[in-house]
Amino acid sequence: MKVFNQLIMKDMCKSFGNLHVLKDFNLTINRGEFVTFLGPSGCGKSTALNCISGLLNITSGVIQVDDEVLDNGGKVFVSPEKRGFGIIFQNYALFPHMTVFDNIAFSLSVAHRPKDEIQKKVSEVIRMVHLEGQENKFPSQLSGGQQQRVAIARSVVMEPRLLLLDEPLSNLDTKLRTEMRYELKQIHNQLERASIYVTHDQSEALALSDKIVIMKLGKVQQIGTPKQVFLFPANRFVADFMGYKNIWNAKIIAVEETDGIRKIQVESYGISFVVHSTIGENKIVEEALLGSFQKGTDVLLASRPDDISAGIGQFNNMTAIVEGTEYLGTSMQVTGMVRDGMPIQARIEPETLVAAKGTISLTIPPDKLIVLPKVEEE
Amino acid sequence: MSNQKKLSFSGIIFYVVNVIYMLNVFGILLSVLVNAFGIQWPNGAWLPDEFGLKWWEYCASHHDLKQLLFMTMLVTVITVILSVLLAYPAAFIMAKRDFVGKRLINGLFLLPVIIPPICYGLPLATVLYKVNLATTLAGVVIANMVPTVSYMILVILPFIEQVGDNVESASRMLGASRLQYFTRILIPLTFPGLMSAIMLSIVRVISMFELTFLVSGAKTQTLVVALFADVNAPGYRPIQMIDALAVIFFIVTVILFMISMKFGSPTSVYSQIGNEK
Amino acid sequence: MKNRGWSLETAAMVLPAVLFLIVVFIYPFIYALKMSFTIGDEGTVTFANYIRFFQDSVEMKTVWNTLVISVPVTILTIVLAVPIAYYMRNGIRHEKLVTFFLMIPMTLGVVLIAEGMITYFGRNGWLMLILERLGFIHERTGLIHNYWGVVISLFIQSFPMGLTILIGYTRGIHPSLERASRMLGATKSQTFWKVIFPLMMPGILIAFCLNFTSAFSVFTSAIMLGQATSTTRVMAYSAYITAYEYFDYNFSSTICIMMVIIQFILIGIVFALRNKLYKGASSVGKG
Repeated sequence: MKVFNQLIMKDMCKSFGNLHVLKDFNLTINRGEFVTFLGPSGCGKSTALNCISGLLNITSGVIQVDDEVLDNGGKVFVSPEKRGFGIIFQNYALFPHMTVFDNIAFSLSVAHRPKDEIQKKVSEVIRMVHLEGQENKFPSQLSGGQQQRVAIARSVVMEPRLLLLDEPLSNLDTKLRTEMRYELKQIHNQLERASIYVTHDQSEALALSDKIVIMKLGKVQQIGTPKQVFLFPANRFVADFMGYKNIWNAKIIAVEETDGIRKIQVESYGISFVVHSTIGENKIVEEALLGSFQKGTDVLLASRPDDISAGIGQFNNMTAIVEGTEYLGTSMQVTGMVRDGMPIQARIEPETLVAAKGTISLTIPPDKLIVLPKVEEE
Repeated sequence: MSNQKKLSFSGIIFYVVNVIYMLNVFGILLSVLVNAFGIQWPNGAWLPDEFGLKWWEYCASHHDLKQLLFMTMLVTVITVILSVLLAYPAAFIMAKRDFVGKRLINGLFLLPVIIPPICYGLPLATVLYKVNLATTLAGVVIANMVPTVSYMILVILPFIEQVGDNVESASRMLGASRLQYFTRILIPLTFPGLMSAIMLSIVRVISMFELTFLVSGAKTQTLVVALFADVNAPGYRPIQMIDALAVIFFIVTVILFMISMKFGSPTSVYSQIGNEK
Repeated sequence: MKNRGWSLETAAMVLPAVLFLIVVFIYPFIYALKMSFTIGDEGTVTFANYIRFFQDSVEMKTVWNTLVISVPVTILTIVLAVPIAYYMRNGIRHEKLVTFFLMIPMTLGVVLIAEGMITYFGRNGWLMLILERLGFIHERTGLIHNYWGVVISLFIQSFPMGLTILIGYTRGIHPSLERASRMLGATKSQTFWKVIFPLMMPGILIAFCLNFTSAFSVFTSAIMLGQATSTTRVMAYSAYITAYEYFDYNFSSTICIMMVIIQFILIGIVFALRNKLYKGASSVGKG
């Protein structure tokens, strides 16, 4: 199947009756890209994947590869087996009545390819996924990790022009998951095609992706590189998903822009904070705040527990009443209250002495705080 | 999935076979009903000339209907009660305990459901005649209990399996005796299964023909046996009168069937058999 | 972890049912086996009954009759039930209603259906009238009191049972297998023949065995809808009249034993055929 340069989805919608599970999905995937659909269950990420695969047809919008339309929500619909996409399911969906070899050879044999070609190609991918010697076993005789490898090999052998992965690692234990994650990325790099990966695990998404699509209730919240979504979340939902556990209501007091640096002074629960950011680095938030950081605007102030440290700094100092501590080895998690309605989570030096019900001084560097628009997404 | 509007090959077979099947079954049942209420049905006519209860009166005068219904109910109720007393504890052990020879006993419980009644009915009848139990109520009940005990075990088993093992441990730790565990915990928890087993068995026993036929006597005839005897009796019995008897049988069975459908699907036992193997 | 010994509790709860079945189910079989090797009330072991069985042309014809009725019915049931179970694999509209109507004949039992068939399939029944009106037949003959009556009644009884078993099996096949197959480039029919059908195979075998054993032991409808003394004289009927009209319990037992043996042989043949066609498919699990 011809390799494509771009997979384009325009205003893709999918509804079941009155239930709109996917709304105005717009995305372009380039050749070689590893794209992740990230979100909690029910966010529409698997539906989006199934629409792309052709297992579901879309209600409206367009899916196309380069100039070839695959589905336009109406007359044009290319059935799944003609799209040349490979898919790996969460439960692997290996054929229980076939050996490892027959499972992997399935796509070639249904395409009536010559025997020696099948033999050669299957041996190649078996080597690629390190399953040498397992060819004649049945899936039930394999471990979870091996089954996963068979599933990968089975999809890869048909040289798909797009590889779709539906939470492929969620049935594995933590150690194996990290290993397989690395191997998946290696295989993706070898194939030099595009991959779409669906997961609810942000660390998987950050580790694997070139591009992350964060979704909620059928709507795309943000599209960006791992770094962009991690450092510059577009809204409260993305921030929360990316580990910004402290999100407080705040009001802008003053804004000063010099040498490409924007210094914003905000007040939250009577405490004054200073936020430093590079102008233009988070366009989505800047647009949401109408490009102008007006005095008196209600905003959200967000920070991640790891960026808060004990002690007193130049800016942004608070005193919190400690409610609980958890020793995490490399750090200590402190849960406390700065003001009524202003809880805080911080991960500080593990050796810090913290008295239960006592107070602790905490500080956040100005460039680790972010300002988010208060307007709530749906 | 994709092309839902296009009717597939399997879809065509589904509709054609089901429609033909249901139309004919419907036709069979309706013609029984019409014939029972018709006075005279001329050859080649679509419907009887006139309708009336003539054949019902005839049926009532030739059969002791009260005795027939009473005997049918008696056999059914005794069979089902005795079967449940044997089947429920056995199902519990099969679901929750492991012991030497379990597979063998499992096979024993399965056999009467998969072997057709006539195959074991004839030898059983021979033995019952030998010990003078045939033609008695006890003999009829014993014969009907064979498949019913097995059937009930199969129906109840999955319901007991669903009850978590830790429920039993918990109730023991809280001081309940074994008997109290059964009466206070297990039976209430598996009540839907118990009810569906009882209802489905009642329907089965009522329409179970071969076993009752082989061991029953004049006094212990049930409805279904009387129906068969009427059709095959040497003397002439008008078909309308037999149809009237059939309608009585039909009404009794369908009412019980509708009630039993409320409790569970009568088909579940067959998927069970598949899983056992 | 688990104790595999027999506790008092196990024995007290499982043995009543076991003993009951041994006494009224296993013992009669053993008794029949013993009877089949003796003549009259004599105790001497003899093969005379079996020799008689194989030499008696009426009994041989009876075996043939039984096979000619039961094998086609079983095959027809399976051939129709497989695509229908496949069609119903993801559920259908009004499924409860469809199941209800399919279950009615099973519930009413063979006697009532046979009794109703006498009127409906008879020479003056509605079916013949309709076929005549539609021009399919010129002379109404009726489909009862012959081979066809028995076959139709057996089909009405066995079709729902076969279908139910097969639906259970197709629903046990995880839908993702079908999707995986489609995504790997297989067409619908390739998916059916390479994935679904092999996975349905165990269910097909079970359905075949259960339907065949119940059709092979046909009794009631052979009497009510066939000509039990001639063309539809089946083994169960033969065993019955041998015992109840000729009071030859020994020979009757022989026929019963032969019935069970022939059933097992045929089921054995089917399994052997399957093993030849589907090597290695034995480790099929659910999904």
